Amino acid sequence: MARVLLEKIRKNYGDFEAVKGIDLEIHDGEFVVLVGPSGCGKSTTLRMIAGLEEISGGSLYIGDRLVNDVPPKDRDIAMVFQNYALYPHMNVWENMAFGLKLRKLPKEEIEKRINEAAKILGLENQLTKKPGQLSGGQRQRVALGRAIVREPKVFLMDEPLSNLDAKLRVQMRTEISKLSQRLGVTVVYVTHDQTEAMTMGDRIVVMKDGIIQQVGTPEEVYHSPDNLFVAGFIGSPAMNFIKGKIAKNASGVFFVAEPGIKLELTEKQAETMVNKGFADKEIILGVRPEFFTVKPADNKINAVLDVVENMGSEYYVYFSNLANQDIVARLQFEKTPHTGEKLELGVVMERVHFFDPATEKVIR
Amino acid sequence: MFKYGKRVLLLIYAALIIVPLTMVVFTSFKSTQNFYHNPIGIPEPFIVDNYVAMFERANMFTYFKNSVIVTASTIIIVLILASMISYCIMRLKGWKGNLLYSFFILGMMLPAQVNMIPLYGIVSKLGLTNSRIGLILVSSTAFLSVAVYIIGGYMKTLSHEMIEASSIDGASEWQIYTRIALPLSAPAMATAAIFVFVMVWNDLLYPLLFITDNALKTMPLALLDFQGEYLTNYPMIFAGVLIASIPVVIAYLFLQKYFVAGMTAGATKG
Ligand SMILES: Nc1ncnc2c1ncn2[C@@H]1O[C@H](COP(=O)(O)OP(=O)(O)O)[C@@H](O)[C@H]1O
Ligand SMILES: [Mg+2]
Repeated sequence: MARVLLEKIRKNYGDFEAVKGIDLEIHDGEFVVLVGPSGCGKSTTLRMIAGLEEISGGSLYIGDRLVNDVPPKDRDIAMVFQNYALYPHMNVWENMAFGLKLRKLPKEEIEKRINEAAKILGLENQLTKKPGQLSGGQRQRVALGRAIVREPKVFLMDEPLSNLDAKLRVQMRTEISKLSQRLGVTVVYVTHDQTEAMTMGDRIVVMKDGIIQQVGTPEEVYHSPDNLFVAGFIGSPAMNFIKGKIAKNASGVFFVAEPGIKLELTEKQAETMVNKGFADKEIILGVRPEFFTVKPADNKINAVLDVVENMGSEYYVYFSNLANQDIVARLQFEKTPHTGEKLELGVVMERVHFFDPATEKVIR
Repeated sequence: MFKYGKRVLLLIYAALIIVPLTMVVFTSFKSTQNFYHNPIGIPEPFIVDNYVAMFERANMFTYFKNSVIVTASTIIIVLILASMISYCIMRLKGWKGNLLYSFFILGMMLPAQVNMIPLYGIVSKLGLTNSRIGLILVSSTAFLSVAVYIIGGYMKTLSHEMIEASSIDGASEWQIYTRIALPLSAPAMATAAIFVFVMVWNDLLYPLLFITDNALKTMPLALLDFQGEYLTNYPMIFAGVLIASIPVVIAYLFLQKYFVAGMTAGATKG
């Protein structure tokens, strides 16, 4: 177990900069998830930590050791790949034993570790099978087992669940979470799936175009996004963005937008907006789908239902008359509403976010 | 209609192969007179003298042994070198591996006749004419490209992540080569071995070029001696051809699947 420290880490492929100088400290025993859209540099970052990719600039520490020029096998890490990357000519036992034999561990120790790992992962009866005879989920377990028996300081995982079907993915998600807690090991986990990031990570690192957008706990990233990108990327259905203006008059400070949207800011918000000079300026309002309400006391928006999706416990409702704005709300109704129904929609102003359209940063 | 047409075509093709082959077999059991009187028919009388003579008078054992030594050594050298080169091709990042691969494929495109004269010059300067080592070295270089083409093409399809996993597991390049790349390339190695075997075993050009000493001749070269200036002893030649082809036939029978695999190697995955 060890911390991992990235200082101004960069990666160039020719002229193209895939990772643009990122700083990140991963604490001992922490489960950190790198998340972002495809091509944002997550894998490249992970592979630099693993030593599979040369580091173009910056310093990488594992424990207290600078490892920029240390080959993968001497970094005391284990990695789980998306395609399992098992050795097809070896059986499950041999797959797990391979790394241990190379490190010349005593026979009894190898035997002990593999038996333990097999028990944890439910592979006791599969040890003599070849990878080709296993299902996708079992192969993924073998890949995990191969990493576990090594007892590395750091576990690296690159989209390990993306080849599994939806149900198995959810199951393995919890299994990996539990496993990491049980082993108390440092994990760096890469995924493009924000749900995986939210459910598994102690902390989430949101990346875009080779730059870290925000680092925080799932709660922080969800409830206080630093910028438009993070706000839109985390959460499903995604946060609604409404372009409008801050209007100040005698009765208060309002967010106004076409058509006929007028929402009064809370006192604190009003103060921030005025102090930061956003009065009468363009602004983007961000509202999560769950922070709309029906039958509000004030701050009403007249809306017409367009599409209604019944999710069982609640409804996802899309609105048609809020021009140019794609709005989705998660609402509860006593009986299923219909397309074309008129509705007074409220907004929980305490939970909304404001973004500067120029910098795309949050204003708070 | 089309089905029958295809069958007729196949029948004609089969006849084209079976008829001459039968003639070769028949002739090898004929006397010379019988052959010139009746070149096509059944042996009359049926004699095994040609085979006996092959071993008694013509040193067949020596030629066979020479062929085995040259072929086996060439196969071993080619497999070792080709698998190592293929490993490099697989491991080199970016364009470098492809360049190396193309370089060897280029070697395959040059017909052997083109560099006969410079090759002879080099070998004789090294004092390696009339030596098995010389012949083995020349054969090895000549057939290395085919083997690299087959084995390299195969290794390139091995999972990249698996190789990376093994390097994280603690394997050195040598260990990745011996424990991962080699065992997984066994089918390609077998295919390459058969190719090289057939080519070297049947090769006439290089033995003809470099071997004159009777004690060092390989089978195809020795068979040439039965082709006189005025009279050719066909029954003897054919008996020799049949003896020489036994190992090839056995190899075909047992390793057919690798042979077919080799024909299509490189066809999958670019
Ligand atoms: N070997 C390479 N050569 C050139 N560009 C690469 C290479 N590997 C990755 N890239 C580029 O770097 C960027 C980041 O890739 P990657 O880290 O794999 O993204 P992801 O976040 O999807 O894992 C992508 O734009 C990709 O095209
Ligand atoms: Mg990736």
